[in-house]
Amino acid sequence: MISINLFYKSSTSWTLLPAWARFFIDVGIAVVTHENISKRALVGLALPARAYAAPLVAFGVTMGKFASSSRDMEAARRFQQLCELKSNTPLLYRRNGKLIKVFFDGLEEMDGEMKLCLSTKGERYWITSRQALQVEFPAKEFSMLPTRPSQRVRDRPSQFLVSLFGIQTARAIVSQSSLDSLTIGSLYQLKEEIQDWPIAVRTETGFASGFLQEVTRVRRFSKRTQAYRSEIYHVYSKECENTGQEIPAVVIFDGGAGFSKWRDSWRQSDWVILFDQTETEFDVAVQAFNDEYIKSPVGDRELSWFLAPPAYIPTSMYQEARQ
Amino acid sequence: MKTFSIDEINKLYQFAKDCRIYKHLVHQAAFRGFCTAMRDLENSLGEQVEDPYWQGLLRELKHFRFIHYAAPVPINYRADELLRFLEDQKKDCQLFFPSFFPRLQGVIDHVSDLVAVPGNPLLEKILELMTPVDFLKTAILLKEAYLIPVVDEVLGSLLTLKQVELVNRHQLRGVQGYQKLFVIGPHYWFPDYSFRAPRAEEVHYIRYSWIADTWEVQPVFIRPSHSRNTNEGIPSLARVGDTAREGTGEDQEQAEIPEINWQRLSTKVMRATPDDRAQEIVPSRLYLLASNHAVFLEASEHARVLALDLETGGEDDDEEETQQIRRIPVAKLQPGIFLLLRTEGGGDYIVPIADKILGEDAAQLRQAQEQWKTRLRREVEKKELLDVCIALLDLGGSKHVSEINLRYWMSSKCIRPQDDRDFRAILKLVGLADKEAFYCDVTDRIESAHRRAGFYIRKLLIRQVATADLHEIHKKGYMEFELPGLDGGSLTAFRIEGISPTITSLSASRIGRPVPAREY
Repeated sequence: MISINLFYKSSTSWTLLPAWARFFIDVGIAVVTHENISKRALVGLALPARAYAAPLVAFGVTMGKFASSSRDMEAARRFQQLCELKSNTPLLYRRNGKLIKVFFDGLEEMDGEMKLCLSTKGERYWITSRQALQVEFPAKEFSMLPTRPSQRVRDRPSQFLVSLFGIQTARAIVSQSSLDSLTIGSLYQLKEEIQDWPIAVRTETGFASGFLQEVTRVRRFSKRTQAYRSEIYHVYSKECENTGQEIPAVVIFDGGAGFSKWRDSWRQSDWVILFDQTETEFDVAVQAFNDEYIKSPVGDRELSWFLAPPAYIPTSMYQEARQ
Repeated sequence: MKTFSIDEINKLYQFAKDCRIYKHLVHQAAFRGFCTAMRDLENSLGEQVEDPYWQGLLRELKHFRFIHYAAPVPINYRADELLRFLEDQKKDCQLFFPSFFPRLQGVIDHVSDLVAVPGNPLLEKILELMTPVDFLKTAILLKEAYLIPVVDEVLGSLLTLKQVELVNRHQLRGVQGYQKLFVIGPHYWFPDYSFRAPRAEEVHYIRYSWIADTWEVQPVFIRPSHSRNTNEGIPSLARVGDTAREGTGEDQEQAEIPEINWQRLSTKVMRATPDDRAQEIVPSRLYLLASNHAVFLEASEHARVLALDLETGGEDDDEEETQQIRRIPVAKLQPGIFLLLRTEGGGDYIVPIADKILGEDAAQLRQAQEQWKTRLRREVEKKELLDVCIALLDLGGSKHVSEINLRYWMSSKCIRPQDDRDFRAILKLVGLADKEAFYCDVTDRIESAHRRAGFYIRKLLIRQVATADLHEIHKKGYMEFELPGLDGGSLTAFRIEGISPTITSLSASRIGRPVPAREY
């Protein structure tokens, strides 16, 4: 298990994150690093309050993703996903500091290798499996190309990001998009915790400070051309209806209301469900979780790789076949 | 809405980790005597307990007993009032239920004893458990918010307890924390989060010794018995420090919470709301609100109400579903939700603002709107609802034509049917087909004005909620909003405390008008 020591700004100095906060980062790391192709993990946590939990889990998911999976494997998986798209599916292609609007134009075998064909105004690009992470899904689908389909991208990794991951991974984070996690919850509160809460990592010369957003790279809080690693949907938004093409590795339900409302969707992803013990929906949502738990195969009711939760955070977990 | 700092949240995890829970039993012989006599009387009544005489009498007795179980008030609090009431009931008992009179007299004797008993045993226990440094960071959790003013008065008379905060269960959902929290009554009266996610370093449950409380609490999650990840899900219970004198063989009983008398509450609200016979009759349900208010809301399938969401917050976009203030179906209402109701000016809050948007055309447009509705209502009066539905289908109505929808289209809540085919069929049926373009324009303009009015109100309210103190809203159970665009208009967000199980039909004029009313 990778370990990360994050600090937050207390009244006077940088203070190590409390144990419960570090636990949430570890939950994110654990779930994503033990990803199983055929089975998905479901982890339910009953919290005294849900503030900060979802952003820290999302942070852990992206941390874990970069610590565990090789870029090549990730690229191969993305390539496979892109291969299954219908012709003319709108996509975005990052190339030489530009983000280009393109359409998927099928597969072609060239030099004995299968390549994705992308087309835009007057140009075609052939993408190998290793280049697949440069292709991403647009936030909103488009049916026509604008006059100038490409936009220049200028995004350099911050000192905080470099201190956390090293320069190579930090560069990959700001230049490749992937939906590591999707959080379904309360937008306003999450925005403040992700964008406005100063955190830091210790360096040889002191502290490199930043915000969770630099790692979680929530798409809705980013500029259009920036690479993303996660997304947030408001619990009552129609966006939760799961109409997008990109499947998040982990779905984080920030509160029982989101779980009650959307638990029939997103069943391809691993789930972390953060039940707030004080919320109105708590009993109903936990009952729904327990009902599903009972239906799970007995042999799947334990995740041997999962970390021991603190005694004051009731936790349950199981796994089931991905849908 | 204010977000919480990491230090505030850290404190809550500290409480969850380290909180110590204690149970304390209090004994008071005279009050115990009263409770036993009361229980014996009730048990002896058998089927007679259903008689209105005994129902009324027991309601008063139970209410008195509940106040003393649930609040640290002096033992003689309201005892003289109860005594007078019981004395008044004696004659009828002697006349109609002579065999039960000795038992009633027994109860009266006990109440008479209570009048003379000094002391406040629950409060004395609290004082015993407090140290001088605790006074500023102590709270008392009460079962019912309406008991807060009563206890406030008691504490106000004691200088040392003036700083002690009285809280209801809703306030324990925020980040406010205490050194000591005293909970009056058995644990099952309170939501599980009061001990699973405590907001204090120490939680002291205090109850009378004869009230049963076994503390049988289920873990949050089901888990395999051999699981490696076995935290019990009830961490605080493992640290219960039991100072209670349990197992002494005392005869125990469950603490009943007085039921809301919906019938009496309904009568009170009916008396306080206008009965305009000219308006349509609609199915409705009664809601008990915080701050001793009650309101009838339409109970039909289409009915929606404006609610304030303090849990998930809102999104800054045009999607109504994600706004902090949004209309939700009445079927989804449940206790704890905040309802937005017009408290000044009465009735609908959208119409007056929409009329301002419509300007000088408002009256004319409303009149034209009423014309086709009145004609449609007349058609329904002449024939049956089903016959009118068949006629509408024959005239090109869509699959949406049904008796439920027809009722809704006739009502003042509906501007027009959503499907143009249905509206066209209605206009044909009521003889206004030649003016279809005119009526479509009327409804379009009204609809647009209503949408803008809703948007305006929502924006205004969200701005006021953003600066509001959540702890205070949860404490009071309501929040008042001023609407500058509406002459003398104000809206209040009331927390729902109870929902009547029955639906009654009444005039639309009584709907959505909160009135002060309390029934225990």
